[in-house]
Amino acid sequence: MKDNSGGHTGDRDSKTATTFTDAPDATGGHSFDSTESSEFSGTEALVKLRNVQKYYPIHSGILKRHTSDVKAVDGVSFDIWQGETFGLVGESGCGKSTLGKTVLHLLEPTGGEVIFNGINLASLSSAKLRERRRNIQMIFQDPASSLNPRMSVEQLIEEPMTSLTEWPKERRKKRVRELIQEVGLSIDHLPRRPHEFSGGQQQRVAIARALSVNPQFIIADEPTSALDVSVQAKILNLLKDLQVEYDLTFLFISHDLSVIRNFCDRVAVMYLGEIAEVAPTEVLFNRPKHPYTKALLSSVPTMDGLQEDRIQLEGDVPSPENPPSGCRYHTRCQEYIGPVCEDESPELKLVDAAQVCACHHYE
Amino acid sequence: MEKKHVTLLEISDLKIRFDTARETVHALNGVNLELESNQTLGIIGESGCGKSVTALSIMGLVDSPPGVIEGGEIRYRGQNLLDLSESELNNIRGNEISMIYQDPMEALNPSLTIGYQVMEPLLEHTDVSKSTARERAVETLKQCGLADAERIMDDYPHGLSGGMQQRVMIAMGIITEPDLLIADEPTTALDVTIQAQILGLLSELKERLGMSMIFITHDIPVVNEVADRLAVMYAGRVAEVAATKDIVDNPMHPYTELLLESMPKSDRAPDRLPVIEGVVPTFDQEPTGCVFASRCPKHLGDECDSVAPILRESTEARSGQQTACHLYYDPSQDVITSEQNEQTSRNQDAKFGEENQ
Repeated sequence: MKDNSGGHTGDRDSKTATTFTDAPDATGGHSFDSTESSEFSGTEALVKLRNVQKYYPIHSGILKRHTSDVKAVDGVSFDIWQGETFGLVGESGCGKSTLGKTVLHLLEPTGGEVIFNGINLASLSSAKLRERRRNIQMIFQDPASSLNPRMSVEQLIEEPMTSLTEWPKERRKKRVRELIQEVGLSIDHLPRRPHEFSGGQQQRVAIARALSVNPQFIIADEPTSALDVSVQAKILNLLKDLQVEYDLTFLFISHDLSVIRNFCDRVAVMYLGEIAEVAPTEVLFNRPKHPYTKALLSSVPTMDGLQEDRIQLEGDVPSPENPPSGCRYHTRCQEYIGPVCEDESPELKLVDAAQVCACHHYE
Repeated sequence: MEKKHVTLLEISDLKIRFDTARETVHALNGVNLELESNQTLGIIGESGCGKSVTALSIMGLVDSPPGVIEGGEIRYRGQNLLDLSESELNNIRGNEISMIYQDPMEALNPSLTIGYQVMEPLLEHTDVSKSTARERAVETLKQCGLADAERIMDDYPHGLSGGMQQRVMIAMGIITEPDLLIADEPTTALDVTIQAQILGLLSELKERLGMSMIFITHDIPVVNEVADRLAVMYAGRVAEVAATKDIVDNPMHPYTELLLESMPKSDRAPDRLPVIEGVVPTFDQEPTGCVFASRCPKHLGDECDSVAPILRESTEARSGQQTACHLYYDPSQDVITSEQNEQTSRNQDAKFGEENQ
C-alpha cells in the first residue's frame, strides 16, 4: 500500500496523482479547478443517490401501532462528482442532516439507493460496509460533543486508523504526527484532551481524525456553524487546502447561504425532505428558479442594507409528519399557480444548463 | 428629517472582572457607549468580546460573585444604575428596560403557561387587573405575529416552534412598552426566513412604540439591517463606533476591517477568505495598551503595547465615527497613560467598596 500522505507537504498547486491504492475503482490522479464547475461535466459521479428515503415511524394508541411516518427524507436523487464540493442547504427540519447520515448509512435508508464508487451500499454486509466507511468520513457541527473527552488528541486521531485499517503502529503514529501539523496544530498538542482546546482547534482535531484513514469522500455537517466568523474563515480555508491536497470530494451541509456560496461548486436546496433545486453555485445565486430558493436567498441579510423587494414568507415550515399535498411548498409559495400545486407533486426537471428544479412553473 | 435626540443611556469606562477559584478574567476593560432615544445601537463582536456581559450589566444581572464591577458608570436617564438598590432596580428592569435572549427554550419557563409568562411583567410593574392583563397579553402576542394568541395563552412553551417561542419572548419584552429593549442575539437560533420575519417585527415595534434598542449579534449583515449606529467590541473594549453604514463602508479600526473581510458574503465569493492571525487574548490582569495589539497587522510600535487608545473621532473620519486606535492620533498628545488608568480605577474601586458594605 502506498502511503499517500508523505508527498503532500508544501506545494499547494501540484495536482499530482493522489492514489487510493486500497480503492481500485477510484479515479485516482484526477485534477480539477474548484472555481470552474463546468469541468465536472466530464467526470464520473462518485456518489449517486437514487430516490433515497428515510422515514421515522410514529407509534400511537394503547397498542403502539405504527400509525404514520415522519418523512424526514422523501425521495432524494442527485449525483456528486468526483472532486467537487456539493452543498446541501435548507432550514432546520428540512432533512439535510438526516440525509447526510443516510448517505453514510449511519442511518439505514427506508428506501432508495446510495451508490458509492459504483457499489450500492445497501447491498454490502455490515463488515463490508465498515470497510467502505474508510472511504467516507464525516465531520460534525459540534466538535465538543463528537470528540471523546477522555481521549487524548493523539488517541482521537489514531482511533479511526486502529479500527478501520490494518496499518502497523509505527505507521499510525507517523500519520498522527503529520496530520496534527497539517491541520495547523503542533505535536505538543498531542497529549492534551479536547477540553483544553478552543472550538476552532477542536474542529481541527475532528478534521485530522476524519482525514487519518485517507477517505475519498467527506460529509461535513455544519462544520463551522458553532464558530466565530474569523475562526470560520480559517477552517474553511483549511478545508479548501486539504481538498486540493487529498483530492477530496465533499458533501457540505449548511444552513448558511454565505458559507455555501464561498465553499461549494454545486448546491442542492432542500425543503421538507425533498430537493427543490440543484444548480452550480453561481447559477443558483444569480438565477434561482424555484420560488423557495428565491425566498430563501432574499431572506439573507446582505451588506447592502435592507432589501426593499424582500420576499417575506409567512408562517413556519409545515410539519414533516403531515406534509402538504402536491408541492410541499405550496402553503407558503409566493408564486402559487393554482390547484395543480396542491394536487400534483412536481418532478425535478432540467430547466437550464446543469440546473434542475421541481416546480410546476417549469412544466 | 432631523428628530430631537436625547441621550437615554450612557456607559462610561465600565470595567468588570470575574474572579473564580481558578482564575481571574478581565471581561470588560473600559467600555464606553452612548444610546439616544428612539435609536437602535448594534453591538457586534466575537465570542468573549464582552457584548453579552455589557448587556447583562445594564440589567444588573451580572452575578456577584464571581462578577466584580471594578469601575465605571451606567447612566440611564441621568441616573447611575450601578448606584441603585435591588428594589429600585426592579422598578426599572422588566418595565422601562427589558431584555430578550438568544435561546427562547432556555429563557422561557417550561412549566408555566405562555399566558402567565407574558402577563407577569405587567402584573409585577403595574396595577392592572388580571383580566386586563390577559387582554393586553393577547393583544401583544397578536402584535408579535401570533395570530392564534388566544389558544397559545394556555399552552406551554414546548408546544411552539422556535420562531413562535422567540415571538413569545418578544411579547414578554414589550408588553410593558419599555423605553429600552435589549436584544441579545435574538435571531441567531432561527432560520433565515424566520429571522427575516423577526427582524421586520422588531423594526416595526420600535417605530410604533418609539423605543430604543440595543441589538447584540455576531452577524454583521443582520446588524446592518436593524441598527442606526454600530459599536464593534473586541476583548472587552469598544474598538469603533459610528453610523452603521459608515462602519460597513469605511471601517477604520484594523480589527473592524479584518472582521468584515473574514466574513463570507452571500453576494460574492472570493477564492480564499482573509483571516485574523492569532486568537482573542484573555486578560488575567487589566490590559495596558491596545487590546488588539498582539494580532494587529498595522501595529505601530511601543505605544500600541503600552498606551490604551481612547475612543474618539479622528480628523479624517466622517462625523460621529469614533475609533480607538493609535493610527489616527498622535499618542504623545492627550492620552490616558496606564498609571492614570490605574489611579482612576483605584479611586472607583474605593468608591464601590464603600457602597457594597
